[in-house]
Amino acid sequence: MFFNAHLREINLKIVYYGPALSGKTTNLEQLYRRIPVRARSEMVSVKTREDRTIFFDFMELSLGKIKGLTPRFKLYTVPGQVYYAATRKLVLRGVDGIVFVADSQAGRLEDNVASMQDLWENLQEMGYDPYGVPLVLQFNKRDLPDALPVSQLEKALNHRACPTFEAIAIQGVGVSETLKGIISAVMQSVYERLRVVPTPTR
Amino acid sequence: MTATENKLSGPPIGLLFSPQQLQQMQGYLREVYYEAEARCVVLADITGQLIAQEGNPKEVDTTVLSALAAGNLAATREMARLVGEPARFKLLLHEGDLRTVYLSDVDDELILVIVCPSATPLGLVRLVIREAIAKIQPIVQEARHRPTASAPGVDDEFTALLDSELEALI
Repeated sequence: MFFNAHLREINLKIVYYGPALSGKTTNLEQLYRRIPVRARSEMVSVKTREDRTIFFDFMELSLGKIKGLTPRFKLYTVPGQVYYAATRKLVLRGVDGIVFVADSQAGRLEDNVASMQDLWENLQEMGYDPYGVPLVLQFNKRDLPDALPVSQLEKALNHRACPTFEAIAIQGVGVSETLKGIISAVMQSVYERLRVVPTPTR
Repeated sequence: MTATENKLSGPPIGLLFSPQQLQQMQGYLREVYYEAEARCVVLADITGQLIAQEGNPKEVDTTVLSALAAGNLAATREMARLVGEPARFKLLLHEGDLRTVYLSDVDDELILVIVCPSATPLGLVRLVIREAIAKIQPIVQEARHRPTASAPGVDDEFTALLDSELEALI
C-alpha cells in the first residue's frame, strides 16, 4: 500500500496468481475492455513471442474521489509457468490482495494445488503471514465439460475458507465479481490495519 | 509502536510520507527535471507504486512506467545476486535513439526513474541523480523511523461508497 498524503490517494496492489494457462491474463484483458477509459490506465504485458506472460501484465483501475480520497488499484498478473518462479516472487512484492485463478479442469487439479503451495511458500519467504493476506479464489473455465465440481475444488484449494467465484473468464463471466470481491477484502484489511497506525507524533 | 510494527497479520503498510515530505521530494524531482533537461522524472517504490513525478503526464504514462521500472530493477537485482555480485547495480541505463531511461536505486525501497533525450550527457545525468538521491534519502529515513503522515480515512462509509462506485463502473 502506498498512501499519498499530498494528493490524498491510496494505492493498492492486487496480484492475479495461479497455474499456467488458468486465465489470469484473460481476466485482466476482460477488465480492460469493461472498465471505461477514464478509470483505467493502458494495459501492458511483458510477454514472449508465443504470447505467454514472461514477467507480468499490468493495469491500473482508478476511481474518482470518495470522501476526499482517491483509491487506485494496481492489477498485476504473474507468469504461471513453473520455471518463472523467480519473477513471480518479484511481482508479489508489496501485494495487498491476491486473486488465485484456478483452472477447473480435472486434469489441472495438481497444477492448481502446486501453484497454491508455491504462493504459500513465497508469501512466507517474504515475511507475510499467508493467513493474513486478503485472498479470493476464482474457479475459472466452468464451461468446460471436464470441469470438476466446485465442492472438490474448494476441498483441494480453499483451506482458508476465502470467498470464491465461478468464472468463464474468456466470456467475461465472473470477472467483475471476482475483482469486486478482492477489492472488498483488501479494503477490509486496510481498514483493520490502519486502525492500529499511531496518530502523528508531530 | 510504528506503522510497520502493527500486530495484525495483513500485508505491511508502506512508507507514510507527510504532505510536506512529499512536496519536498517533488521539489527535488523538479530540480532533476530542469538540470538534466529531462522529459519525465519519477520516484517510485520497489513494488511499482508511483510516489512523486515531474514532467508532462500526458507525454509518458508514469503509472505504467513505475510498474515496469520496478520490475526491471528488481530483475536486475536478482541477476546481480545470481551471478554472485555482492553489491547492487546502482544505475541502469537504457539508451535509445531518441530517449534514454535511467533507473537508479535511492535506497532499498525506492527508485528514481529519469527519461532524458539521448543527447543529454551521461555525466550530467549521473551528477544530478547523485545530488537528488542525497537529498531524498534523509526524508525517506525520517518517514521510516518516524511516520508523521496522517493515515487515510478508510472506514465503513468509505468502503460502502467504493462498493457502489465499482458496481456502477463494471
